[in-house]
Amino acid sequence: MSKMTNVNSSLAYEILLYLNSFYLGMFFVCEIAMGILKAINVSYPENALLTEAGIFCVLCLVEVVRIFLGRRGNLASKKVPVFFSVLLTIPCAVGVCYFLIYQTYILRLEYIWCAVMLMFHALELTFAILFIFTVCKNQQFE
Amino acid sequence: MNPITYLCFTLLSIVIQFCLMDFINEQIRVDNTVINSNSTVVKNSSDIFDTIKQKPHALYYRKDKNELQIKRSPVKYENESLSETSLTSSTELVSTVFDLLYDENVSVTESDLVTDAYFTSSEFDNVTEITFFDKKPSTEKPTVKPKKISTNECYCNLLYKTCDINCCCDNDCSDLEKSVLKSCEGIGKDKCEIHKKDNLYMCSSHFSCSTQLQSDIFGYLFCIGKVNLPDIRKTIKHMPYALDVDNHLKWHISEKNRTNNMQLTKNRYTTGQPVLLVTKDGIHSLELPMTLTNEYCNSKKTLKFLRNDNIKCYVKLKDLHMLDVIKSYGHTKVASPKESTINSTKLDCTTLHCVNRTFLICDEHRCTEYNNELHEPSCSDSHCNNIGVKVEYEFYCNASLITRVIVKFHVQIISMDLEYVSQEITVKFYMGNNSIESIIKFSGNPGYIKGLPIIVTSLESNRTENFYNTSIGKYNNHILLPSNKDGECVLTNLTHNILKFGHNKRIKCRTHFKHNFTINNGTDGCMNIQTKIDGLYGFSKNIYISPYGNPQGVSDENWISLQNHHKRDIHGEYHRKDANLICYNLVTRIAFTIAYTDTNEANKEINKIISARVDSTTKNISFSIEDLSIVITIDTNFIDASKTTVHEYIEAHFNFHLPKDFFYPSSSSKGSFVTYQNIVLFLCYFVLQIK
Repeated sequence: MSKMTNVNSSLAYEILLYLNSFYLGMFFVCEIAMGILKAINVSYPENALLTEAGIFCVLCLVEVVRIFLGRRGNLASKKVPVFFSVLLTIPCAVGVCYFLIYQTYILRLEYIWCAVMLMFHALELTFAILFIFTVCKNQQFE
Repeated sequence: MNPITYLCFTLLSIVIQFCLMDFINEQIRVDNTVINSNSTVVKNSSDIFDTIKQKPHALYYRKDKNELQIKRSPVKYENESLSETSLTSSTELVSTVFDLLYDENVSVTESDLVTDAYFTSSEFDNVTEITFFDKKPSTEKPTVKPKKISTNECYCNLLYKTCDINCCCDNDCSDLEKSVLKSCEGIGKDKCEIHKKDNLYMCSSHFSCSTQLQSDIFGYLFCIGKVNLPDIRKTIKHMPYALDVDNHLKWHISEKNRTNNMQLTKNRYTTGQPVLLVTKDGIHSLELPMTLTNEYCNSKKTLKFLRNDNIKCYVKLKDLHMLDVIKSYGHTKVASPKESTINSTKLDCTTLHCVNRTFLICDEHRCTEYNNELHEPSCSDSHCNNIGVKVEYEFYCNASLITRVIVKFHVQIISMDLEYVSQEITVKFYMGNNSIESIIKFSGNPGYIKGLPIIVTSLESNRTENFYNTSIGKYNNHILLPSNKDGECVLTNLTHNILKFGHNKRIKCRTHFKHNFTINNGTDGCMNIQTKIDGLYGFSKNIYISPYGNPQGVSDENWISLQNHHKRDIHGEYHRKDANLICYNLVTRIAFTIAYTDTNEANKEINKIISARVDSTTKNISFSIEDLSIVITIDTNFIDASKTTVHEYIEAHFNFHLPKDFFYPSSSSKGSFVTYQNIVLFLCYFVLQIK
């Protein structure tokens, strides 16, 4: 029974990470396109555009690492990579929140896709924690 | 990972997002149902004074805002502000306060200030709407739709069938006339140019769409919902790169030097070119006095083509502008370059189009043509006669040619004790040959503009049609009020003391009645006095006010009746012994109280009069037959009945509404069946996996 539970929780987590990887691709492409659109149409304070671009690149890199660790840990049923993935969720969520609230010009479309991204983070965090607990529980019995 | 699969999933996620936004948009559109309630407004407008209250303080609006947020009705009523706004007629109270503050012989004008309280229903502080795509608005703030009046809704078109200068959207202007207006070249036909800042709202607001929310999905999504620009942006000061003193503006060294520097052109007139004057000595520009460093006329400037002007300054009696103009009477002409002028070598009336200036002398009652022998200014030891302290220039143009020039001198007697007098010079340009007196003027198009006369009629039928009938007379369309001249009430057409929109004003003056009627009965005497007073009040029995500054398309029943509820009970007693006449309930004060509302759409201001009434105050007065005089008071109060402007923004970016039967699928509709089925399938799958 406990084994099955472990499998199930990791499946949901896997689905989320799998979808998130595609979503991240879309997020990356669309955000860059939107950045170009904004750079052409509205004026930015000095260095603001560069700062935002830098934050965005870091965010994407961290997000890739997070998803990678999450998937590796989940598929191999190892808690350590998943634990790091959970840790990386915090800077990723902060980065997305920055684009949701604090970036210079926030488009309505960005409200939506940042919110979706945060939803992914929240769900993944939940399932990752569940996964870690399950793995720990299984180890205890074995 | 297969790139095609990756791409497909990416596209799928975009489609899902767009579907989500469609759903949000649908939710918003549901709230946009508009109910036409014009008829209700008309019906209720007469009762507006009973329901309108004084404007409440800020806390009230805060409360109101909360109500707006919580109890927002899904159905939007037009003119709903009218029923909610309330205001009591405070004429009596206001009059009493004025009584204490002002003495007779004083006219008081108070500009009507309208304040708008801005707040957003969104939680964001600095929400701005900037869109990258030029689309129409989707969720409008609850505005009142104005009645469609004219097909040519041009806000600067104020002269009927006459081209308004600097008004590019005026259909009365021919292409030739528009070509003269420099400002129209870059703007296009849809815009108008108003130089006066206060009237900027009159211009077409086609370019203000950036402040509006956008209607379709693209417009909505690509709006910038929030801007986080820093408060203080770094300012880069450029260091001076060269010191070229000659290329900077400098004060002119002398009058002579300045005049010589003026460039006379042979080209046809365009806006802003100096108007030429042909004299015996040659060609000069027409000059007007101006203030330079203080309120005194201590410099001169050139009169420019199609530039209306108004100059007020103090001047010594001997330096009056009128005296300068009269000196050149008969031997100067106003010239305008023709097509052929550009090729000619000499500049005089053979190559230029020259017109004589027509001088008119105006007193309080009428204007007559200037006669050098009769009207020449003259001074005695104590005073000077025929001194024109006000000079009006009227230029009538046919495209770039000046065809007629009228100079009006408003003369009066000036005491020699005065070292300085205040002179006023106005310059007005008109297109066409018709005299401005014969042209019908609108007081706004379509809504009233502050400072322009209220349009009235006393006719019972065909009111709008008769407004355009010039034969009836210019002043029949306005309410004429008496002016105060040395404490006396003077009622003339030339004083132009017309009831103007938005001018809160008090006129208090003394009127004398000649003792040319025999008093047999006290009541008859009092009735006679009252009739004469009524003549000064400027209104007859039935007066109807146009709700808009341009009454075109306004039907007879939509003209606002000026209500006078006061029942008169005038009676009097005549005591022959004391030669005393006592009048009871004599109306010595009236107050016009006019309520208006701004039925604005976007940034245009469309002021509509919704109700008007006259309040009378009676007094018991005892007259001595030797001195039959009385102080009368006329108040005009304009009350803005518009609801305070509330700017609403879309607050719910994530306004997801789950269907009611989401959690309890069995309770309602058929549409939810599929969703229900999907959830059940998902749960079954999940349970099977666990097992």
